[in-house]
Amino acid sequence: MVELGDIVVKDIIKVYKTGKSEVIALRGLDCTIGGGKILAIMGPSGCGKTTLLNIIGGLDRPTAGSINIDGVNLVDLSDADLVKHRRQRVGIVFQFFNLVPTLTARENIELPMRLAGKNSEEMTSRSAMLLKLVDMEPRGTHRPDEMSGGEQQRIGIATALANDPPIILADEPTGELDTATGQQILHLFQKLRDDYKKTVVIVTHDQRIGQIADTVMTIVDGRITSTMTGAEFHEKATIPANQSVPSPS
Amino acid sequence: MSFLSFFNYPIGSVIRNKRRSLFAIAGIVIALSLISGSWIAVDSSGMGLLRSRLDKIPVDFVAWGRTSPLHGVNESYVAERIAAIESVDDVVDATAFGTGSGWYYSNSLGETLEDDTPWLYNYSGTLMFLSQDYGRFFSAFHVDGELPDPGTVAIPGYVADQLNLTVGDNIICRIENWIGETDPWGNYTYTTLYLNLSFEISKIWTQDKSSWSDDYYWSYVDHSDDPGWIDFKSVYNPVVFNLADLPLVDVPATAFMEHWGPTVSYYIWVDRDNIIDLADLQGSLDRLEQLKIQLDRIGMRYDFMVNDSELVYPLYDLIPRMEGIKPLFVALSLPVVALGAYLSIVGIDLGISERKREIAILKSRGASNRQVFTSLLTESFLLGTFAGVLGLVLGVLVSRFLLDAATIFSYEGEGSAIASDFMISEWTIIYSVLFGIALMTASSYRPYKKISKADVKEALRYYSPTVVQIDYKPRMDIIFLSLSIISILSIWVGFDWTDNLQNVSWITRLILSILILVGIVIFPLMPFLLSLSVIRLLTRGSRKLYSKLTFIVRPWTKELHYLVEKNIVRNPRRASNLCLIIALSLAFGLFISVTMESTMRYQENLIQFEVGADIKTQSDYYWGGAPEQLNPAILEEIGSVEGVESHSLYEAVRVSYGYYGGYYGGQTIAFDALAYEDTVHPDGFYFVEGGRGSLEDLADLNGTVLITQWIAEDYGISVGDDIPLMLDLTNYSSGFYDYKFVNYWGYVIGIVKSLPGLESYSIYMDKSALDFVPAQNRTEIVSAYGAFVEVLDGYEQAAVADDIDHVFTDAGMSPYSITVDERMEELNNDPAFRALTDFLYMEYVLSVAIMTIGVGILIFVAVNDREKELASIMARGSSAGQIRKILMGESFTLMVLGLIVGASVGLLTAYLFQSLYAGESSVVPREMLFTWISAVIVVASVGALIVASLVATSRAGKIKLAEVLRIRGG
Repeated sequence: MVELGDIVVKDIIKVYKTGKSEVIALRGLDCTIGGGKILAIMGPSGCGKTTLLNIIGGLDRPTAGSINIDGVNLVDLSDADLVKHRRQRVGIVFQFFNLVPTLTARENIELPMRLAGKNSEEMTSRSAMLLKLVDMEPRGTHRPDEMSGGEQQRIGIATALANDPPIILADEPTGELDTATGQQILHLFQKLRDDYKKTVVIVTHDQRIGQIADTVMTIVDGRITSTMTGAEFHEKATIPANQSVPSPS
Repeated sequence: MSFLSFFNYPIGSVIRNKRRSLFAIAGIVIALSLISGSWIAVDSSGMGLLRSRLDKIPVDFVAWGRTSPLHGVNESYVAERIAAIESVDDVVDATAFGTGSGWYYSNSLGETLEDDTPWLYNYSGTLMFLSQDYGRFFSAFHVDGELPDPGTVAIPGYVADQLNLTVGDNIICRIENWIGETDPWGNYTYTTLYLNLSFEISKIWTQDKSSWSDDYYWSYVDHSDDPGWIDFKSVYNPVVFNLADLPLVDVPATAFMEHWGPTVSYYIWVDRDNIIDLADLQGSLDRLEQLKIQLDRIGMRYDFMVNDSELVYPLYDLIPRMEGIKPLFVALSLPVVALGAYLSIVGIDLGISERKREIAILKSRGASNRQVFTSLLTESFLLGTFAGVLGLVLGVLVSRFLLDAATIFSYEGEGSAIASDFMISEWTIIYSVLFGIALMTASSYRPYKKISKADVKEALRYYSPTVVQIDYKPRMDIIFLSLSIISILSIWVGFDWTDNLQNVSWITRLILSILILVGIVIFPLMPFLLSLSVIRLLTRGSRKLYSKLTFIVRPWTKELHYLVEKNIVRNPRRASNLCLIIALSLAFGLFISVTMESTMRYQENLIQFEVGADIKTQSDYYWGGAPEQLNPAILEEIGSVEGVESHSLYEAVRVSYGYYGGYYGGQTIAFDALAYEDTVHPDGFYFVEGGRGSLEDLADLNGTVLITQWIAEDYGISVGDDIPLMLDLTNYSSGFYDYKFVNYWGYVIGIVKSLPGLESYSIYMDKSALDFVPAQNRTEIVSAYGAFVEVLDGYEQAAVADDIDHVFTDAGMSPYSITVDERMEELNNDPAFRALTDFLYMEYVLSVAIMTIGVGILIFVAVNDREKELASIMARGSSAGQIRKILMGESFTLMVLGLIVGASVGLLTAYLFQSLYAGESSVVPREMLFTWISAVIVVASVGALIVASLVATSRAGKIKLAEVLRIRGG
């Protein structure tokens, strides 16, 4: 049975041509990500983890293979359908936040809803709800240059949730944040899975991810080298006691 | 770092960053293409002009024998001299001939050839003795003929026609001598002796003068179309013998007249291709000078002297004109040069913001401010050189459209440029490169100086394209705006005030005069200063205007409108640059088209005013003429000439304002006022007081007159006044002056500026006002008869004018006619006007190109800067079309601002320019026209802008999201 947010990746190959040379970023990747789970993807720089994320997010197309999300094969989609996919099925959280600098926090959250053609009432109520969810209600009228990194990333998460997609993709979401703030962000992802049943795929180097992830997948040179549960990963990882992610209350 | 290796960095920077380099030089390349194109056009079309002028010169040098008369000249005598002349380098041919003037031509019936003056004197001809070695004589002078048979003569076709002669007939050449003696009583008597020599005619010559006009010869009657009229420049209509037959004339003539004898002359032709280099006119003059010196040296030995070559005259004429017109074109190119330089500054500015980190890295590695600045300036030098060369290449294309521009100094009908004429002088190349370097350096000096001093750590920080804060100081813009307003006010107000300057104090007069002078001096810069200051004040001083203006695109951007509103204010400098480029281009284009169209209409109005109706025919008489031979009643037949819709007759009569013995002035027209109104349809503009109805009053009310404004002002006359008039009835027909004047009064019923077709007259009356003059004296008081004719549709004015001329001739008059069509054709063919129009419209086209490229560059860079932001919006669900909508919404809003300011400034400047000219008193209305051409310019500008925006924003849809979003850091 296909659950909402189910992702099935089969034999994905991605080749980049740079000048005269070719780089094989993914070499026949197979994996399944169950709906309502957190998958962490880890690996050294250049291993292909961000490439996989981009393909799932509809930002890029694979050279070969298939990728099914909620029963829909992304490879068969036209460019216009990919836009819809990005609008409705996935929400992306970026390492460098990528908020529109001239818009306020609320307006940034409303942006995907506007692009999707939602009416004003719906936008207003949903943006208020999302600001509350990420604990940024007082900062709704502030612009990105008036916020800290952590605050911007919270808004980034809220923006990703704007059209209520079943899948959240996060590319190094804590990469630009200090430890404490990073922990808060990880906690948010936990909440999204537990309370909202979102499927969350996180590309990260952050060792603490094992504390919240259901599955941790390691990719090296475009291939999956290991897959383990979050608990198994957490046992192996060395994390200072004061950096643990608080358990959900 | 060694001196040479230092250049590696700037050279590499220019070559590696092609896009940045092209952005920096685009404006200057286009500006230089106009300058170099105009210079190439001047040089190229100068070739055509020079060629056509040289073609009119049949012989290169003319030499004259020092000894005159010279008897015993024969073939061996001239052969020796011709050989000596031809031995000079670059002389390709020569011939010799003898001439003897003062001969009359007659036929066997005793009819003597008369000249073509009204006095019909006997034609004084020349006998010519041409050497067998005649060289290029026939081809150079385009003569269709051959040497006569031995013992016979060749005569011009004109002589043959006039004397009814043909081949085989005899022509009699007669020379006269006078012997006088005084008798013992002091009475002087003289006897005329004649020598008649008869020669058989074996050849009749004709000449094709179509390729060269008789510039050098004035004739009472124009014979340029008569092939029988022979013109050898110094000899006209000669009777030609073989040189060997000289004794047939020389012997009897010398016996008859002791001092008679031929003069020997030489025609010399040189290798023009070798001597005259159209790329080096001064060198050509020098070579001709040297050639003359060498020929003179031969002449010293062989007893002849050489005149200056006629070839020098076109060179002397053209050299200063061609050199003088080049700076004129540079001056006329200044608007597009300014625009191009501005675009270059914008391009450099954009490049600098991209290079901030690069320069900071250089400095962090040890480069000093000076080294950085020198390196950047070296890049400018290289780019300027490249811009100069590229501008030259583009200029070749531009020059093809400007070939007529160089004929600005030609005469009507002269050879115009041929497309195949092409010349680039080395100075054009040098100046193009130098201009490129100068403009590039001037554009980049300040920005490069500033960036070379930038703080290192500040520039190394990650740069995110947030809202740009600018430290805007409006001081200079306020000064520019003030100067523009002074210029506008002084022109608007100043000219009106100059009339009243006598009534004000000297301080006020001084201040006003200074104001007017400042205004006029600033006026050429006013459009630029006004556009610059207004745009910058509106767009840099406040961000509110942008967001207010975005309402224009709201219906289109809909749900994304708020993004447009927010984003448009993020970079005020870039926004104001975009607006300014658009405003300046459109202002210039509208100014050109409105001014040219208005000027053209003014010229057309002047023509209409000059001619009056479609045709104006007039016949003038001078004192001592024979008015009793005239039959003016025949002129009524004009009405029945085919093609005439209506006509109006007039007479210039000897009536003036004043009284005999006192002061007087003005000249008077007596005409059929109603017919004049029906035919000429004078505009109400011409009637100062009384209106058009005063023409009807003139016809209805006896004794009434219209006077011109100047007479009314000079003599303090108003409508309703009685004025003294003096009729001059002086009679000349008896051979002496019988003075007679009649004083009477006229009643002024209206004042006019003037009346169309009758500008040189100042008093107008209906012809019935002179009914009191006895019929036998009527023609004596008329100094000119004239007619205005309105032509029916479908008839050619020239043809109808010819028929009208015949009517005048039948009336015993000598008419001349002018038609509106003829004058309009002259106007349209006026080389100066046409050349200026072509040049200015080409300049506008190039300024649109600069504008389009500038807008494209600015939008392209804006999209480039925001690539990551746009990619993240697309990652969040935006389609490419939505992104383009946002970008187009922003750019379109700015375009509208630029278009509004540009159109306003352009129209205002055109209006002021018209006012400047309207300050001169003109009897013809001067209107400012906004024609379809101006509308096309506006539409074309908008179209170009939309295309540029679409092209620049189209790349937004091609962003590779994954690639762009993977970029880490700044």
